[in-house]
Amino acid sequence: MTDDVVENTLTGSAELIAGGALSPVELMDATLRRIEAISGTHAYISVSAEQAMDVARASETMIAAGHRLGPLHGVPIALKDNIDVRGEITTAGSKILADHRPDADAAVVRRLRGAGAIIVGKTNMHEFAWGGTSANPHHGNVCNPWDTSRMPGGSSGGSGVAVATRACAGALGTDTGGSVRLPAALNGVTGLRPTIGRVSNAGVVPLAWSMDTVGPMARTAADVAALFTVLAGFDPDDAGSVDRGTVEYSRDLDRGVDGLRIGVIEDYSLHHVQPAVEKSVRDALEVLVGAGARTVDVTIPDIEGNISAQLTIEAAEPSTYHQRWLRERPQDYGDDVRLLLEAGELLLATQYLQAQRYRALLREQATAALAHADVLVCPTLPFAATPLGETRVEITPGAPEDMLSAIMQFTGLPSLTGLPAISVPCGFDADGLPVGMQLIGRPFDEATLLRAAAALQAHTGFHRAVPPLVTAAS
Amino acid sequence: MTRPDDDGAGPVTAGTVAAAATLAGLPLDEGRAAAVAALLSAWVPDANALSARMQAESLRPLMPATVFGQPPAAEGSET
Repeated sequence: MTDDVVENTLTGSAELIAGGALSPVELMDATLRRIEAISGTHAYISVSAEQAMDVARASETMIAAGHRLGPLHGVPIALKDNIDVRGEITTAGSKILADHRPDADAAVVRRLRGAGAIIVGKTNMHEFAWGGTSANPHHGNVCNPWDTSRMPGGSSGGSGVAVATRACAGALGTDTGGSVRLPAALNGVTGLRPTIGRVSNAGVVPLAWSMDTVGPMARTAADVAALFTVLAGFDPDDAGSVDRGTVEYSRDLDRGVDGLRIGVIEDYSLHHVQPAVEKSVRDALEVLVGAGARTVDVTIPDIEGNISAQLTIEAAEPSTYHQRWLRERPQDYGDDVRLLLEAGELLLATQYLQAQRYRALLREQATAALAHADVLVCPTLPFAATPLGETRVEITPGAPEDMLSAIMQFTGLPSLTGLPAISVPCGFDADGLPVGMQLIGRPFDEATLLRAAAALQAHTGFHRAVPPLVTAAS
Repeated sequence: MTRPDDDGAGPVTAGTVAAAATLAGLPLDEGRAAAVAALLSAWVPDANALSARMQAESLRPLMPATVFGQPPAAEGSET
């Protein structure tokens, strides 16, 4: 038995299993060996090896009997450790919740299980999702498989690494200010932030209620579409859930981008980014234009201010959720998160509400821009993976900036407006580190984002590249 | 309202942070107050600048994104 089977994409494995050409047991066994081989990345907090193998054996028996639970039957999926699994500890990357054992599955877990997926384990993350590097004092700093001396982005860093290293077929992250898209970009995988309200947050430890959403991560747009089809849908147990029809998101993936209008936001989309990032995004745009898309210039006049609004909201809301623990167990937080929570308590209600009013303004202007374009484009973040432990980054040489603000430069627009966005691999910098391109869509039009990402992947091979750590582990 | 004698941020110091923490009922020792002050010194000027922009007369109708949205009434459910 070899570990080659983990090289199959999520949809590839699902098809092989459905056709009886791949055993769920063989796939799970190889996945568990891969998890062990990349354990030095600290991608996982917990692995349910025995349970996952039991389910894999049951999946195999069912397939042999001609019964398939759903489109993800037998496929190993990882969950960020702020997503509840019945009977399994959900730490949210913290010490505070070290003993938190939920008595019910999160809504998204119920959907995955219903589709036949097998939960293989819980992935590491920035503590309570409040940070963009996945440096974690309680469960180990997550390392980037393209260069283990660098950070993988966050807060869903473990999910990004697990997907990139083939230590699962797909994973769930959560995205408040960019926490699915950032690790997707920095690990060379594909990640979707759905329209706010599209996927249930029930059973997920919150960061900032007004911006939180679960999102799927996988190697290809087709894989993300398969996961998203299972995840999307109304949930009466989530007050923020929206009752809108969903579609089979894999259906139109091959339709191409002929006629697609890609909006380039003036003074924003390609402004203040590292040269290698700019070049990769421009090259990817050329590929899409070559496939029939066209670029159009659009404006969002009040785009400046989005980082401040995001910091204010993303600071105030978690500080509300954590108010009691911050008084009773302050020493149990990591230094960075404790500081952010303390600072968030001291922002004024008027600052918070003006930031929330700014969201309404930004949404109006983004919606207006999307009347002239089908999607908007920008990098996912303006730089490639930085060394572990760095708190500042140089986008312009000689001008170091605060990491937290800099990392939100492009992900804030969808987070604040509730619009869907996808990060898709679009190149590498001179050090071989992945670069991600972000496409932002109209509300509930994830299908167009997935189609554009699939078109880019049909013409490029960045999503197929293998991190050096995987080559070493194979 | 921005006071004429400040830069829009107000003096974010360990002392003012400690005072605000007292109002919030948040215990902060001197060292932590200084660390929080350093962080808020970077955030507050921008937050106040955004607040000032949002005071524009033309933006008065904007409501914060925190208001409840009610689902559409089901057909025939209105009386």
